[in-house]
Amino acid sequence: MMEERQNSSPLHHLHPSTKVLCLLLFLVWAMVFNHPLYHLAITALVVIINLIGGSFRRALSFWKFYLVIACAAVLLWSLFLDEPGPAYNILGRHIATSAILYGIGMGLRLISLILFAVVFSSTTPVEAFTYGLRRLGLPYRVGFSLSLAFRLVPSVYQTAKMVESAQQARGHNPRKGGPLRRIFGFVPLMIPTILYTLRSANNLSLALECKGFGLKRKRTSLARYRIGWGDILTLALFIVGLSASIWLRLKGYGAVIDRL
Amino acid sequence: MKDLISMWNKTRLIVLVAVTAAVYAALMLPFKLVTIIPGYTELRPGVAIPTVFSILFGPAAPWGAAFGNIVGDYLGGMLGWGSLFGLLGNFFLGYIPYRVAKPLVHRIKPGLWGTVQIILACALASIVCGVIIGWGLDLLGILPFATLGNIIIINNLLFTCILTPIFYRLLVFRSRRWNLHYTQVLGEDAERRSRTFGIGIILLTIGAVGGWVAGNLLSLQIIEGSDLIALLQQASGGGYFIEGASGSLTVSWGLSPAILMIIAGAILI
Repeated sequence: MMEERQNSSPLHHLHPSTKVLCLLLFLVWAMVFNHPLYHLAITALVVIINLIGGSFRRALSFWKFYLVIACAAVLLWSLFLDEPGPAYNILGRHIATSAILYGIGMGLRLISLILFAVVFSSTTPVEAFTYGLRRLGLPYRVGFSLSLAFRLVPSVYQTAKMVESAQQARGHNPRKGGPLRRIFGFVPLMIPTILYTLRSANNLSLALECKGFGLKRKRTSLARYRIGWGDILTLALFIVGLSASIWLRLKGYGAVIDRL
Repeated sequence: MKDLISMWNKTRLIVLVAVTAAVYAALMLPFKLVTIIPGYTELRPGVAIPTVFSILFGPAAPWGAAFGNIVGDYLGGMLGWGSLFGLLGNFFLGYIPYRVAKPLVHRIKPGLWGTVQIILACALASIVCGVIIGWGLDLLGILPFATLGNIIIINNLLFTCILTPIFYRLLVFRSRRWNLHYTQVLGEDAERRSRTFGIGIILLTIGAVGGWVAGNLLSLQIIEGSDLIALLQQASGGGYFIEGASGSLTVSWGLSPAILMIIAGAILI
């Protein structure tokens, strides 16, 4: 679903740590309000960020998904929140107006979070992501393991494809039958795939040790990123935006119901 | 719990963290299309990976499960608050089975009692995972516990309890042969159960099952927060420790004791 876009938007040139920090700040920002109008403003902001990052088309291609999210959020929260105040009586069930508004707000919150994830993953290569995390204090070995996991995912698929072809040649088709049969039909496909991956893990750990992975000296990195004015400005905008939103919420704005 | 930190000094286990994460994420991604709650959860047969890798690779599995969830969410474009609690819940999903099913460390064929132990350990881990994620997202006001918590628990129970014993039988021989089993990497210390295992498992079970039941009762508003306060006050002999939390006690507050019990139990096992 997501992949890094080879592009040269201003967001591509930001320092990876700035982007990780902005992601963390946005995760908090999206939680501040629960009023749909305020969330609409935040969603509009993320749409603008997507336009700047050149990922808007990609984000827009999931519009059906957003529609389902919005409908599901309204339905679920309307059913589960029993709030006082004006209400509708639908099929004998008391559904508060505030619960419906809260549901719309939650739908928009989810959409804005997904839109932000789209622009983040479209403008940040995996190497930059793990580099950013390391610069923010994540230990080298943990960062290495995380980036290795990202790199191994395509090779797991490649192995699975190879195993599937081999099994199809022997007459086993895991894509046949109903959904449950298909799920359990994947077991004979998964086991050889896992075993192949485990064998490569064994070889990889030997290769890493041969290259001095166990050494506890300070490491250098081939990729170098520099913090520029763009990074400072972006971070400042996010901090000011988040602080203003928290201040507004503390003053009683942006909430339909008194909860997150 | 010490082995969760000390494993970062073993190259083989570090690679196994990445392998667990990659296999888990790779199995998660195709099923993103079989969404149950859009943006949050989907049908996940891959949850059997953290549990079976937990019994095989010990402390590498909790980190692998946590990272796998992040990788899956990142590649699936669903990175958000759900990922944070997903990370925590999946960490426990990978942590509990190997701590509970420790006597199986030397067995190639687990036998009937061994299989029962695996299933019980998986069931406990599945419930803990669902309670933590359901609690976290309800705490943030994203989704009600009764919806997300139950869906995750049922999905986890279904796939981990059925697939883990099957996968374990098929993978244990090779993993031992390639010296990948955690006891072969960490040594004899990793085989011993902690002295506080008994208390830990009791706390963990009460926290998990109690949290699941209480979460549903509170989320479906079958009992009100104030009823729970009265109940707790009665149980504590009218103590004052909960008097501050009056009024509408939501799922987030109501489940906090269960979450604390789960954490304490996990430390003690």
